[in-house]
Amino acid sequence: MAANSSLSGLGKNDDGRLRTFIILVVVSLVLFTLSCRPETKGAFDFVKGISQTATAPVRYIGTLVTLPFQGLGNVVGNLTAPEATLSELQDQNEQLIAENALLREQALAAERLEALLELKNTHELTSVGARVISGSVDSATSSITIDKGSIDGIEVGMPVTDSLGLVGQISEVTPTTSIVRLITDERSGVSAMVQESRAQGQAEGAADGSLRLSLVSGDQKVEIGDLVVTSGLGGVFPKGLPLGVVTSVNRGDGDLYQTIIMRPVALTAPFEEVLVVTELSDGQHASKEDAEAAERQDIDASQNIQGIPEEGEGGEGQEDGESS
Amino acid sequence: MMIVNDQNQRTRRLAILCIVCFVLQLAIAPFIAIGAGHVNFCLICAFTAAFMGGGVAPIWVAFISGIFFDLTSTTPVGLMALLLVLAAFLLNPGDRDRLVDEPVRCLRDGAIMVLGVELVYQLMLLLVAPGAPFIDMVFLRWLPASLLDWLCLVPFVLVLSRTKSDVLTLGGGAKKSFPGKRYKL
Repeated sequence: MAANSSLSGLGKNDDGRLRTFIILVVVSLVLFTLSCRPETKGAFDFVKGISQTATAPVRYIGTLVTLPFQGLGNVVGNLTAPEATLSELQDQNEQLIAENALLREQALAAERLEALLELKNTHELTSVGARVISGSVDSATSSITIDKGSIDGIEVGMPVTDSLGLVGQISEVTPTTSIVRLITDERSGVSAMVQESRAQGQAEGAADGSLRLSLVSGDQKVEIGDLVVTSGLGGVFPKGLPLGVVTSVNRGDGDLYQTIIMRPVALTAPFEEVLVVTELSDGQHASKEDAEAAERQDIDASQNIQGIPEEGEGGEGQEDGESS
Repeated sequence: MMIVNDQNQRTRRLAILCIVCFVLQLAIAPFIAIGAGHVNFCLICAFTAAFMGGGVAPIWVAFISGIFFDLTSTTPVGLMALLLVLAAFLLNPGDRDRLVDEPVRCLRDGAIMVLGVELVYQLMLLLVAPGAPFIDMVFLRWLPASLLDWLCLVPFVLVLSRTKSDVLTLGGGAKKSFPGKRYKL
């Protein structure tokens, strides 16, 4: 009898569980469908904004608490680094010290020249300073959270830089915080060019933290160690911001485009200061010559594919390549 | 051995589990990563609650954990909630406390389910927002994230399986922990 009553109780529990399960599955599916639809996405962004704002203090405290431990990975890496790597780093260090001395001299000369020419800075960025308070919380995207939001004039799409180069682009904004999609995210794309040869292409992120420079035709000159900067095409990112250093160039026989891998120059450690570029001046857009060069490059590529010229097709492709 | 079915105690434990996991998710998870894979403490919360059993509560915990994850990440709302509700239901079809009965099986089933949930999650995001190459997704996101999830699940399961037996049993907790001791004394 006791067994019977316990069995009947179990049955009721099972019914309740099944009913709750079905209801919550349906609710989750509806939420997922609605959050993917552009018409209803705004409402979800609003709710997300509230939750991001409410949880920002916890993220901030977490960053503060974990700060002493965040260098442990580097310590282990340094301890286990092979001898060749260490000697190579020592050589690089000596070379950099020499270059640094030279650059100091040049910087002093540049300061004098700038004073004469009354130039305030190189890029003339109109920007807002912010601090990184968190990294990605999910495994699907590469992003950081900064402590400035719509109250400070931040808007979706604004470029973000640190002292070394371009970091990414604002993808979500709440009143007090913003999420920056990093240039290393696979869904990021930035119009870029090789500083030396002016070869134009599109920098795309990769899950391993590197950058790929695509759409650079095989006849363009790109060498390992070349610096890649933003080209300013599309009008989203200011021209000339460092993106990465070329670490590998692969020119396969018969390949239309080169396979170029870069190491990003910007670092985004917690509590690092970043700049959100709020406005671009006229001088920070791509020049007419750059736009024409990009267009010519793509026309040449089209001719290589089809054997016939197709005017005005390629340049637009690169301009559209800016991440949004 | 007399097992006390203390519903308030169970609810309190689930609430503490949720708070701990949610704080860890916000404060610690961004800094625990292998490759591009991050640990998901909301998933661990849902799995642990499911193993604990207790009627409809674990399913609600799974749903709330999933929604919390979705709201604090950059992904669409509802996807992780859906997957965690499905996983919680499958991990404990009955109503028993699997943490006490079979902690090792919990870890095994947890490993399989972690792989499943993370795989479906990554595939769905690939469908919704294409961009990442499939190989990168597998080796730099899915497998590292699954490994981290499982590694972080282990202490939760082990600690809760021990404390559970001590708290919710009268007179049997210590004997269960050290079987055979009473015969030596």
